[in-house]
Amino acid sequence: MEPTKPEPPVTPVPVVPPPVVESVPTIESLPIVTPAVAPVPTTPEIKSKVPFSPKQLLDRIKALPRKIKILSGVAVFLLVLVILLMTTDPGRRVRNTLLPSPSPVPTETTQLPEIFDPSPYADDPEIKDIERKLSEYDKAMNAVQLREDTLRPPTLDWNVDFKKN
Amino acid sequence: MVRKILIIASALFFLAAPILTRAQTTTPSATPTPTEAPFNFEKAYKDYVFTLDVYNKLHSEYQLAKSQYMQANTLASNAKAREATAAMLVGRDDVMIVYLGVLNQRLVEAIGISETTKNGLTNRMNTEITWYRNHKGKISSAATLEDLTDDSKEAADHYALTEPLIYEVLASVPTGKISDTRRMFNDLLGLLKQKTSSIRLAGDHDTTLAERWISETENKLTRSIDKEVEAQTLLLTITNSDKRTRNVNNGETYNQIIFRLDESMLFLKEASGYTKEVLKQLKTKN
Repeated sequence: MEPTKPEPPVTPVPVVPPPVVESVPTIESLPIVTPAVAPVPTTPEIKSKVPFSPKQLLDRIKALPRKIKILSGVAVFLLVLVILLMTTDPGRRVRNTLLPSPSPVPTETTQLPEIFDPSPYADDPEIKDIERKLSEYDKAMNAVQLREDTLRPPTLDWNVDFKKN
Repeated sequence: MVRKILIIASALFFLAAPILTRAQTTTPSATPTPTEAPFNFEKAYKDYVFTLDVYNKLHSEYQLAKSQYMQANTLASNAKAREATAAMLVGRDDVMIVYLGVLNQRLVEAIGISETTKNGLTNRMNTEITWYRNHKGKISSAATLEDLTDDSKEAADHYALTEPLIYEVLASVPTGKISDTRRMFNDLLGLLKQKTSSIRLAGDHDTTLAERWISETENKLTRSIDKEVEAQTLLLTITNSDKRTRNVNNGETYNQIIFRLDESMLFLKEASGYTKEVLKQLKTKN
């Protein structure tokens, strides 16, 4: 018979206290909170929900008085014309001819006084007279037009010949 | 009753009398007597433009009738072509008559041309006008298209003689303008020379520089005359009756004449600028 081994000493197991379970509130215990509802925008009432049809539009146009039709036609025509004048190149040319741009206004330049040492003849009446005549002559000379193209011989058909054929 | 009627009648008479008298006095002046516009270059030119328009219309009709005749060659198309051709030839003569009249009027109103030259040119142009009038009167007697061809050829041959005269007149008018402008300038230069010499004689102002400018002015004037002479020489090539020079292009020669006259005018302008220097020298102390 084998001797029995002494059992090892049992180490005491520390007793772990059971975890403290918090009391979970039940659904029934929860207070009923009513959320604040945002004001819903009221949509206007749609009076007629009939779908748009071009035929109806045509009928309505036909029903319009004649004067309004003519006026609206003229307005559309003018609108198209204005658009054409603004956008197209020939239109711009027409616009330029119809609405001439103002030519630049010449600004007067103050003529600087001629500084010279006057001679005894600076205010001589005869010299003043010659100056005046010379000024008139200059004007007349600048107005002379030598070429008179409007008087060139007319282009006439001098080759009338029925004998060739 | 009778009295009342008399009163009303007399009142009406007195009221109506001034109106009636005013009407009588105003009636003659209400219809203005048509004042005949004087026949001048402007009017002649308007007539010419109108006649040229008529001719262009007749010429279009002639071309149409001719092409129809060439295609169809029927009696009807022949008659139509004859009618259209005759009308066109009459219109062509009319244009020449009116055009020569315009030139005549231009010559009458031109400046700087001597009366002798004016009269000579006017007489020659009147002769030409008479020729075209006679030719125009002859056209109606043409019976066939061949006759009309002969009539047209006659006028075409004659135009070769008319054209130099036309260009002679066209060149004479600007030449006259240049002559007139130079005459005006010569008068001014004469005054200036006179004044300069009087100042020199007075001896209180040195006129050497002014006289030098006067000399330069005269040089420019001479150059201007030279250019005018060149223009007149060119004009002779138009008027020359020599057959060797008849082939010259009159229109081109006319352009050259105008070019020379333009140069002549430029020299005149330079001369005018020089006279201002003369004046400046006289007015400034040395």
